[in-house]
Amino acid sequence: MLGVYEVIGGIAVISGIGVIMSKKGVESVVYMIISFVNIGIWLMRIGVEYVGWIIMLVYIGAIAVLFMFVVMMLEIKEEERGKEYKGIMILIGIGVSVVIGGRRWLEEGVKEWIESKEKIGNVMVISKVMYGEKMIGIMECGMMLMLAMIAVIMMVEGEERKKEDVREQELRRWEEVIRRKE
Amino acid sequence: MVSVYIIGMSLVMMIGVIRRKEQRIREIVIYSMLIGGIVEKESESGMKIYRMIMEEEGSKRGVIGIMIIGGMIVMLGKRRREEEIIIMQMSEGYKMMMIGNEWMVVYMGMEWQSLGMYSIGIGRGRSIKEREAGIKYLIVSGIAGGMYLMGVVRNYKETGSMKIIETEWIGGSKGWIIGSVMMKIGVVPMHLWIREIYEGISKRSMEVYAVWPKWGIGNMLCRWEVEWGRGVWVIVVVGSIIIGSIGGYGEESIRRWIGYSTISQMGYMLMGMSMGNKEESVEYYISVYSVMMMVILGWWSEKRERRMKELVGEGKRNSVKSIMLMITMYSMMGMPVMAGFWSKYRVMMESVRSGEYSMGIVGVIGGVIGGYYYVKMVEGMYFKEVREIKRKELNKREGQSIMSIMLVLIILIGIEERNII
Repeated sequence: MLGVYEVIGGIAVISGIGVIMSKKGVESVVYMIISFVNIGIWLMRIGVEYVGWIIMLVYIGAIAVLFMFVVMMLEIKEEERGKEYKGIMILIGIGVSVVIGGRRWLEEGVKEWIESKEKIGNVMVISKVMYGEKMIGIMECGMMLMLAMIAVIMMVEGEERKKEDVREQELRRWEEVIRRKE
Repeated sequence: MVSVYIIGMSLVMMIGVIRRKEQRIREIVIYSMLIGGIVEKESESGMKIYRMIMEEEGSKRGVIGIMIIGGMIVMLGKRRREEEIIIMQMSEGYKMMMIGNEWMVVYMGMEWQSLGMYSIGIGRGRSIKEREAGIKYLIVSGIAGGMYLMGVVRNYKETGSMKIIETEWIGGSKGWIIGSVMMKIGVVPMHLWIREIYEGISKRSMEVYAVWPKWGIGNMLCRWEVEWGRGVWVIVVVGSIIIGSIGGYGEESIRRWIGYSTISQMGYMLMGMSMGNKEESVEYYISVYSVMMMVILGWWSEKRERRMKELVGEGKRNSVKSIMLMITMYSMMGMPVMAGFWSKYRVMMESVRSGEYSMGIVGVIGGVIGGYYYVKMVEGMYFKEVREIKRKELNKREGQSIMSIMLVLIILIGIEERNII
């Protein structure tokens, strides 16, 4: 019979398929949210609660909200589905999922792997490492974000604005600029 | 501490911007990058408290090289001040790649520099080609980052540790990591993006793209003890050399030619990876390659020509620079007196010593065939007749000082075979 992990994972996969196959934009986002919730619950059941909560906060609270915002603002209409590539796409999808998923089925001892990692999901352990040994890592992450900010500003900014240069103005001689009409 | 430098320099930059003293600030940035790179070799004791750091000789050389190259890039010409700040920040990312002793630290460095590369790749975004090239690079680099993570995760599952030194290179999980790094350099089988992206991005961005990532990854590879899969290396090396030499058949555009040349040179560099003692061959090769590439960039930063046939008659117009470029072309081909010969010699000796004769043979043949293109540029400059096309020269940049410095280095290194740093 199906265990808990299979059910939760199955719902995640099925709603993932629903993201692609639904015709309306908003439905896709809703299926995506369902998928995220299931992934978060799955992670919490494994024992890494911190990651599960962070996923719910970040993915659902920020990313899915952003998607919903964009979809509703742009009023993405129901689209016509191209029928030409449907067969090949299904085949490719099945192939990829067999390659990625088949490995897991072949490996034995799946249950022990899941149960034995219960001790590391603690917030205390993560914080000990994050602010202890790898303290520089967090600070460097901050600097990375600063780079991202500067990069985005640079990409979006337009041409350079004209600035006035007082010295150049004062030193300019009128004979070079104005030509007298003889 | 390396980050204090970046914070300090960014603050100096910003204050300089507010007070409108731009030229001074650029000079300070340049000199501090060059000097800071040399000084950082001394400050080792401070670095031991950070346990993320790998303490090896090669990493220190890598950091110095990164800073020097960064300083030279800023020196090559005036660019927007945000780009200069971005270049400084990217150098920090490269440093993390060099010094890190865990896979995730290296990943952080890789993504850090990628952030800068994306924005510099787009540049001003004036034409569609630039934006297209920037987006292509984004996709390629993103895929490479993803592959890297996949390799790291599988590696962790098999060996249980994230440290670079402790992992043994058995099993296929390291293949993802190596594959991702290959993708970022641009060797076969993932070489297709170099030609396209080099064609689209602007010259200022090309200066960042051509040397820095290659130095970073080439230096990093020396510390990964890779011993598996001889067959893979053979395919990569042979494919790169063949495609780099023959694939550029009839290329007229200078940028694409630089792309093909890059592919073949990287193929040569990886020839030294199959055996131990990589530091001699691979690091030496990447140092010499960086020097040669900087000469080409310095020469090219003032030019407006885009095709090879516009170089005609260059020998008479700019005789000094043409001589410098001629020497560099011969060095890239592998002529005996220049540094390029010694680098190719070392790499081929490594491959022959480990028994891979096919790579050596292909290397020699590829060198001869690829040499055609380097000679073609020289021929175009000197031997054809002058046409009546006149083009406007851009403002005088400082490309020439870079060229002279690098040229002296090439000749010096060629005459006495010696490591650079």
